[in-house]
Order: sequence, then structure tokens, then C-alpha cells
Amino acid sequence: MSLRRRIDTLGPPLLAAAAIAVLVAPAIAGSPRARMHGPATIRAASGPMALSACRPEPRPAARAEAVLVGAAWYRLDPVLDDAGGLDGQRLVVGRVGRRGAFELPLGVESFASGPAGGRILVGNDNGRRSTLRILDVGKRCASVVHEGPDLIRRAVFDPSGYGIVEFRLDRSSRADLGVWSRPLDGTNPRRLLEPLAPNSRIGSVFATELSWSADGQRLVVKSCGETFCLARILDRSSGRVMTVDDHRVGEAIGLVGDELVAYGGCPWLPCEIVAMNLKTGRVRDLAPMAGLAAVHVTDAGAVVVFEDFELRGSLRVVGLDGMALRTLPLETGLRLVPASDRALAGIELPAGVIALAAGSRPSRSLVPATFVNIADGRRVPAAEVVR
Amino acid sequence: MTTRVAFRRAAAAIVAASLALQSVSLVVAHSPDPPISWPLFEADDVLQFRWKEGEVPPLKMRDAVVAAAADAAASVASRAPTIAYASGGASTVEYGPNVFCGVNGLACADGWHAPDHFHVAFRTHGHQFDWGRLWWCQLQSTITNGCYDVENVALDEFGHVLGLGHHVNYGDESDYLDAVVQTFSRARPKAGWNADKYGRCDVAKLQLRYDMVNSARKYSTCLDLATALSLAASDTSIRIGDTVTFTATVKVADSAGYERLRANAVSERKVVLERRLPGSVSWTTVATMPASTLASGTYQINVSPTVSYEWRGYFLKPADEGLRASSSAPFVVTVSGCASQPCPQISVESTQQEAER
Repeated sequence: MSLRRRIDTLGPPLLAAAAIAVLVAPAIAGSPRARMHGPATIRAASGPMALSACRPEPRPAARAEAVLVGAAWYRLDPVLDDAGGLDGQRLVVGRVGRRGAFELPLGVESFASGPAGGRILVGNDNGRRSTLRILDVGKRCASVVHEGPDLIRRAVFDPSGYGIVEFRLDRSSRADLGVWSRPLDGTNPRRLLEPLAPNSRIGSVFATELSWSADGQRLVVKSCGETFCLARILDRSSGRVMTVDDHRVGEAIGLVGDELVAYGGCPWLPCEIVAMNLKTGRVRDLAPMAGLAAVHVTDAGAVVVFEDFELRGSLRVVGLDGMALRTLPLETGLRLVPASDRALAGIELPAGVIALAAGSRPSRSLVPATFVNIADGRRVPAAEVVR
Repeated sequence: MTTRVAFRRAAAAIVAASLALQSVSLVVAHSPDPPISWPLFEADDVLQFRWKEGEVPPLKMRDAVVAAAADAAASVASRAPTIAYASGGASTVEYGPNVFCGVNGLACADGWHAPDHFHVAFRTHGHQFDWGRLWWCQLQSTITNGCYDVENVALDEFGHVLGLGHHVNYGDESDYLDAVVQTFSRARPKAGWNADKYGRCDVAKLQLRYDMVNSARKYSTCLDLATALSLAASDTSIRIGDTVTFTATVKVADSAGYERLRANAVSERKVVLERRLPGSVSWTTVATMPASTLASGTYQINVSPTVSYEWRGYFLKPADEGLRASSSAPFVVTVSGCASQPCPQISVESTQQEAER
């Protein structure tokens, strides 16, 4: 089952959680400092408008995989004060081919992940408490799934559909408190991963990012220092944790089966892309010089799509065996939209489809932006799919 | 990471090779910085940058970035390009979250489009990392410990633009100050937090990649370049009283690993002329050879020997640069008879100064 299909099953448990959660109050034209503590206010082109509480309802029918129009997207943008300092973030949310993108003001310590099943997981911390909310993009409603004193730095949907996985820090010392699983049924969270031990190779941890393997069975916890990264991989069925701390393996891009796809040891792009077999430890090259890259699962199997430094203006598609499958043109001004942690943005794409966008992030207009079917290179400019 | 130029296969091949070298960590600690993976800009080029529209850094950051560009120009000690602000510059410096920086790092550089243009991006003041918030010293109303110096970090990023990878330090980082381009930046007040000129191991790699400005400039002490000294005589069979002109030529050794420095002429250093009796072991210094105007890296002296000697040139290792000593192959100048009576003693005639004995 694909990750996206699993996410579609999020409906019932999330909606159940929504029923017990603190719901979002009616809109107020809040100042930016309100930032999703208490009532949430969204802002549309016409001005502030309400982000209503989600109401329990039967699980909506899953969208057909091939449907792109209406797919949710988001991006996080900084909000600066008069002196140019970061004063918060602005979450911009929309749907492909649909008008009416809206914004939510967030604090400095905030994040978003997804979209999955048309929903975006939004975290926000006000310095005293962290709040997790699920936004249903299509319904323009939000459900608070957690609010408490723990500092939740990152969180992603659990593809099982029954919970959230979150990374926590100690609020005062910012020490790593590990990765936790939070069921949506209100039961207590449990720790999945211990805090990362100090590591001289990566130094102080700048960023910890969570993602799932393509089959949703393994959690990838990426920890990056100022320059280098390591990855811990938790097998949810066995509970076994594997740490990939290898100078040949840099920032993780994706995990398919036992193959961890990552940039090589270089701390900048272009960089080689490698695949490490988690069973054998063997590392092999998939691409010599890549820019932005993403792992996708297609009907023909898993592939890596990357900006090809050697064939400028092109994307290259290779299988996990390193076999070159095809080259796709990359129009001037467009770049591949990578995974959400790198893009600070996300689009819920049908399987086998990649997104290209100016600045490699979806924007309010989604123009210029292009969606490309990996299998045949067919392109569908977003502007042409507006309904 | 971001911008990048028209593809050139040859350049990419070179880059790929350097990347391969780097990725297997062949770089020895305290050696010149490793290369970065994108193509080089042209030597002596002027890389003009502008502030990216919509992502313009705050004024104090802009001032610090411009200062860093001047720092770079003043300290590259090579033919590395000059970086300078110009409102219409092809390259950009930006401020804010940017995808090409990835999830970590204080700032990032992108030379994908070298040799056309580059991008540098700085995280926002107050960006939240796992370890805490990023504060740029220049943007603080009261500078606090733990802040990062924009000028220093910009110098690091410009170093990347120019082709430098992160310096490989000793395990105890005792050589940290030998490079600005570092894997781990230092916050105030740790030593090096506000270094405002390239360190000797940054300079060493810039010299290797872009060449020296001229043959008289000093090679970084982070280098350890072999030199080759050749010595020629105007005549190797003379009569007493005749004058022989010895010409020494000093070059950096012709080694592929020396990149653009290979076979460079080495001027305005100290080269001495030595002699010994055939069959003896020790050498005696006859004179320092003055620089010649014949060509770069040449030194010349006139000598009137009265006895047959073996002669060689000796290039003394300079105390303040990364060149090794070298000596020429010895050869004999045979002296016979006298052209006049009484036979003159050995004499040295300098073309520029009185020679040392």
C-alpha cells in the first residue's frame, strides 16, 4: 500500500480526535502575534476569515490517485520585524487549481508537515506550550489534537492513520528528548526513539526531521549538524533502530524497502546521490552530480528524480539500481520541488507525479509551476487545470 | 545548491573528479582546503552581486556582507576573482529561508552556475534551530555571546563561491585559525568567530586553483611545494681570469597536484651559488645570486674562478612561505692556465649588488 493511500485512512481517527479536541473558535482579525494560540485566524486575499472547527463526519471517499486538481499544498514563509529579525512564520495553504489560498500566522517555533489526505499537520509553540493542529485544507477547518507544555519541535502523521509521531526538546535546555508516538485516541504518548547521543561528526544538532519509508513501515529520523547529517531508522514492526552514521551518506532523501537514498558526503549541492542497503551496508552511487532530488514510487517501481548538473536544464530519472530511465526537460526558472523539510513546503502529489516550481516551492498562484508524470514526461501546467 | 551556469562537460568532469577525491576524505588535516564540487570562476574575474529582490538583507547585514567582499579581495593572495557589490550584479545575496540551504547551516553558497554567477543566502536573524535561535551579531542592539558574525560567515560563503570546501582540521582543532572556511562556524567569543581575512589554508587552495598574481608573491605556508632549480654556466671550460656567468632558474616543481602552480617561476627569493672541489663532500657558498631581468624566476651572477670546481645552485627554503629548498644538479667548470699574470684570485661580480662571500 502506498504511503498516500495509507494517509487516506487518516480520516476516522483524526475526525474522532477532532471531536474531543479543543476546536477552533470563530475568526478574529488577530494580530500576527496571536499565531494560533487560542482562536486561529486565517487571512485570504479579501481579509481575515474564519478557520472553523472540523466536524466529525464519515470518512470522505479517497481521491483517485490521478487527480491533481484540488490537491493540497502549503508553504512556510518568514515574517520579519522592522529590523529584519524573524518575528514569526506565515503558513500559506491552498489547493492546486483552486482559488482561495489562505494564510495562518504562526510563531517562530512552528512547523508544518504533510499534506496527506488533504490535511496538514501544523505545530506551533509560544514559548510555554506547544500546540498541534490538523488543518483540513478542503474544508478550511482545523482540529487541535494536542496542547501541552512539552516542546514539540517537529511532527508528522503516522501513516497508519492512528497517530502522530513527534520530536521533542526540553523547553529550557533544548536537549533532545527523543521521538514520540502520540495516538489520536487520547492515550498517552510513548517514546519510540531515545535522544540522540552527542556526535562529534555532526556537532550540535541544527535540525531534526521526520519522514516515513515509502511503505510506511519505517520512520526515518534525520539529524543534521551545521554541515553533516546522520539518520536513524526505526522499524515499527520490530522496534529495531538502525543508525546510519557514515561519511559516505549525507542528508537522507527517501527510504524504499531496504534502500536508503541520500546525498553523498558532500555538504552542498551538487552532490552525488547514493543508495545504502540497510541490510548489507553497501553504498553505491546512483548519480554523480545532483541538485535537488526526490524519491517517488511509480507503477514501475521506485525512482529517484534529480536535477542533473551534467545535463543542465534537465531532470534525470534513475531506478534504485542506478539504471538511467529517462531525462525530463527542466524549463528555465523552474526547479524540482523536493521533500517538505528541504522545501519548507509541500504538495500532495499523486503517485508518479513530480512538481516543478519557481524557487522549488509552491506559491499562492502556483504559476509558474508544472506537474510532470514521471513515466511519460507528460506535463500539466497548474494554470490549465483550474476548475 | 542553486544557481549555476551553462553546462560544460569538461568542467563537470573536473568537478566530478575533485568531488570524488573529497568524498573519500583524502584531504589530510591541515592541508589546503579541499575543493568544492562546482566549476571554478575565471581567474581575475570580478563577480558582482546584488541583493535578491524580495529577500534583501537588513542594512547592517548588507554592510557586513560588503565588508566581507572587501575582506576577500584583500586576502585571497592569488588570482581568485574579486567579489563586489553592484546594483546590477549578476549574482545574488539573499536573506531568509531558502530551499538551497537545506535544513541546516547558518548560510549557504551556490556556485552551480559558475562561472557566470553565484548565490549566497543567509538565514534570518532569529531562525530557530534545534539548539536554539540564530542571532547575527551585527543585527543585535547589544551584542551577546553566542551570536555569529555576518562578516565572518559571509567570508566563508564567498570562499565556497571561489571554490573552497571546508578545511580539515586537526582533531583538536588547534589549527582552526588557519582557515575561515570551516565545517563548524564559531560563535562569539570563541577564537576565530570574527576572523575577517582568509586563513593560510584557504589562501593555499585559492593559489592552487587560481594561480599567483606574479612570480614574486609569496606562497601560503599551508603549502609545501617542491621546487626545481636548474643552473647553467656560460662556459664550462675556461682559463684563469675568464668570467663565467651562472644562471639559475627556480620553479615550482612540475607536478599535476600543484594545479595552476605547477612549473611557476619563483622570483625574488634567495638563491646561492655553491662550489666544492671535485671529490669533496661539503659545499661552500660563494655568493647570493641576484635576481636577473632575463626572465621571471632567474638569478644570475658572474664569477671568475681560478680553480676547477663543481658548482651548483641552492634555493633556500623561505621561512615565510610554503616552498621547499632545492638544489641544482652539480657540474664542473674546468679552469686551466692563466690568461694573464699573475693569476687572479676568485672574484664575483654582481650585476645588481655586491655579492656575499
